[in-house]
Amino acid sequence: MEPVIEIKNLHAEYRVGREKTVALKGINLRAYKGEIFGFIGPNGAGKTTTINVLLGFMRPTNGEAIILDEKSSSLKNRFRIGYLPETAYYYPYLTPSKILTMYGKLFRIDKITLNSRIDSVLAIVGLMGKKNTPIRNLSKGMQQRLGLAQAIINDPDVMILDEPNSGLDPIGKREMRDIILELRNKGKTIFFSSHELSEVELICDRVGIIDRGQILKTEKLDQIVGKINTKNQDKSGSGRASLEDIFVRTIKDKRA
Amino acid sequence: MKKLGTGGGKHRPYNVPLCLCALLLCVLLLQIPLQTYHYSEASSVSVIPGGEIISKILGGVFSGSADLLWLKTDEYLHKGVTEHSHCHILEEAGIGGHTQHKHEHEHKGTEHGHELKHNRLDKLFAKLEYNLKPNITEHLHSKREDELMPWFKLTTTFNPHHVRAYAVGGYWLAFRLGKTEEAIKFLKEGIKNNPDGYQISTQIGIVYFSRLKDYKKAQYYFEKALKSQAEMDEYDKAGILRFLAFSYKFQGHTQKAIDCYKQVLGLFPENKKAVQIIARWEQEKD
Amino acid sequence: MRAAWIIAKNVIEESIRKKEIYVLFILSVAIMAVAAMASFFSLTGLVKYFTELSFLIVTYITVIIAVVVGARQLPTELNSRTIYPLMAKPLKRSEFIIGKWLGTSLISIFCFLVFEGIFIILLLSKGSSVSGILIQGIFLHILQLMLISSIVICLSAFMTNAANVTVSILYFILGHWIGKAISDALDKCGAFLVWMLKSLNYIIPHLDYFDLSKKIVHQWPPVPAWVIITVTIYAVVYISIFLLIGTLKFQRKQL
Repeated sequence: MEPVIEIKNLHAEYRVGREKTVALKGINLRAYKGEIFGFIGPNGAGKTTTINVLLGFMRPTNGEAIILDEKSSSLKNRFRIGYLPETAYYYPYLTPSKILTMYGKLFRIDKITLNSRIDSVLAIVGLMGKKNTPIRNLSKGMQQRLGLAQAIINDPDVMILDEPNSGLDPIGKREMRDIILELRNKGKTIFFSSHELSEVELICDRVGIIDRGQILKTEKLDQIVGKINTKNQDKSGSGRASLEDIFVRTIKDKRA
Repeated sequence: MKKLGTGGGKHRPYNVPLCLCALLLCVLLLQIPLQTYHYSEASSVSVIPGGEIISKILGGVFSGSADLLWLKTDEYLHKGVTEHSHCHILEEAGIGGHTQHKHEHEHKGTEHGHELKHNRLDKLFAKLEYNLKPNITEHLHSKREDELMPWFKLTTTFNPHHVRAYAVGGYWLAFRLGKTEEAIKFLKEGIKNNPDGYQISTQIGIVYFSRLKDYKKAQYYFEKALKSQAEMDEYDKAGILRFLAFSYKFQGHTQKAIDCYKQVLGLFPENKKAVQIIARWEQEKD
Repeated sequence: MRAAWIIAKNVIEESIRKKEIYVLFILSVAIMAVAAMASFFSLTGLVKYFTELSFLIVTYITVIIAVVVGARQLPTELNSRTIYPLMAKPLKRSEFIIGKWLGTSLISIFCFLVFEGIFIILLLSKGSSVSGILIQGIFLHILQLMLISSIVICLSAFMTNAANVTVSILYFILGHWIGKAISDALDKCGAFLVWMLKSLNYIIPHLDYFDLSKKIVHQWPPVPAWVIITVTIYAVVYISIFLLIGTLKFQRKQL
């Protein structure tokens, strides 16, 4: 199967003041077409840095990240990428309609197509009634939905979602999950970073566990869970382990 | 995970020294024009009632502003041309100078290619400056002399102790614009703010003397000017004495007039005109 | 460049939504109105004083608008993190910088033209007319606003909002003195310092080349066309240099 996202021996570092932090220490991973790839790790593991490199926000110190056969720094593949940042960061003085128009124009979508697409994405995320409300007046959950709307305005082939459930209530999370699954069913590739392992467990096809800038595991979700559960049953015969148990054990084993 | 991308909020150790360097550079650059800038007798007295301390704290901002406004009158009088004429730059660059001078530059340039290039650039900048700034001194058209007046008023508003602004402003109002009443009002305001400003008393005396032919009032102000404690130039003193002499004379006090002229003679013993006038008035008296 | 225009439109939209422009608008109109109505010694029809004061106020206020609007663009995008969804779109960093410059320039030029319109109406009401030199002065100030916007946008890639505003305003105030200050200093310096000052003289853009206010006030005839063309080229060169430096710095920036 052709990888849509391919990260090879990726190293990255950043500076805060004079302090230099090595964020990624040679990570390798692949995400394939039509799958939901869950990218999980504790705080400071390197998830957002990886996403930043994938989107060209940061330059790697070594290695490369390829999306849709183009280097991450290329502008060509941006037409086919949708990105949802961790928290909603949108111009508060604009309305959902205006901000989507602005982003849509950057994708060079023609006016008629853009107008109909704005209506359809706002309908998908349930913000049609707030089309002309200034963003500053929207709740955090609504702004996160708007984030998803802007991520799909260009009908992307690849979606990079950084903590998409952040700030959402249980109903919002459920709706977000349904939308992501629907997008996967349409053949989109979804690169999904999250702390919320229960969510990852529910929707991801494969997961990559990252800690301290290194990938600890990259496997199909059912394989990881299956292996561990088999071991557990062999040893103690106890119940099925959750992804959270596996995650905690993997991190602890590595750190030990 | 450490959040990235908070660029604007990041600690940037070079910002503070950069700002300090910029400020220091500004101060250094400001020193040069300020060194060449001629302050008038402006003091650091405040225009705000009871605001002496504030004025001192502000470091003479008001008087400094008043001085700049005072310079405006000169600029207006010369159609925007200030003392900082750019003609010297043009001469240096060989524009508008003598042909011989120009040739010297060109000759020098052929020997030193680099210098020629440098001079040409200088020349272009100088030409630009020459065209962009008022460059030929031309006196204000007499019909538009009224345009000077706001600057006299503003100068005295910012610094009520700007004696020259009152005196010169009073002169322009009375003698160039024919606004005698306004002139007297302005000059009286000046006297109120500067009781020792003999130039203002003299000017108001001249207005009464020449414009209103009110020799009694003129005499009062000339005497007031002479009583001033301020340091007075002997030419100024002689001038006031002459006016005072004529004020007395036109009121019929010939002896007092002669006494005044004798004082002029005391200051300038070689003054033949004074000798003649004294002789004539002595004869008239007899 | 379409992308740059989209960014520029957003800058304009943002500026329109903020209150500061309206405050500055009211302030400048109030000053102009007071200047127009002010009476000195019962004299009427004082045009030069009114022109000088109005042009000065309009010049300073529009430069403040350009500096305030321009300086906050990049730091605000980074602080509020609106830059992330934006830069994930097919938008070059150079287009982002050019768009920010264009938006800043356009909003300050728009304000300037509105202020000048009011000034011209008041001027005509005083019985004066619109001279050729006034038109040239307006054009040169537009160039100056574009140049200052480029400097501010360039500096915003290097420093914080507050530092940028301080440096830019100081530069604007001193920029008119630089040529004179350096030429005065040349007589008092040694050979090395002379070389340094002369280099500085050529490197730093001279804002006094964009100031025709004295000629406008004193009603001089229009300046020759070659002067306007040369100053326009001068501005274009410096604008390009500052935008290039800003882009290079921003391209190296890790978001």
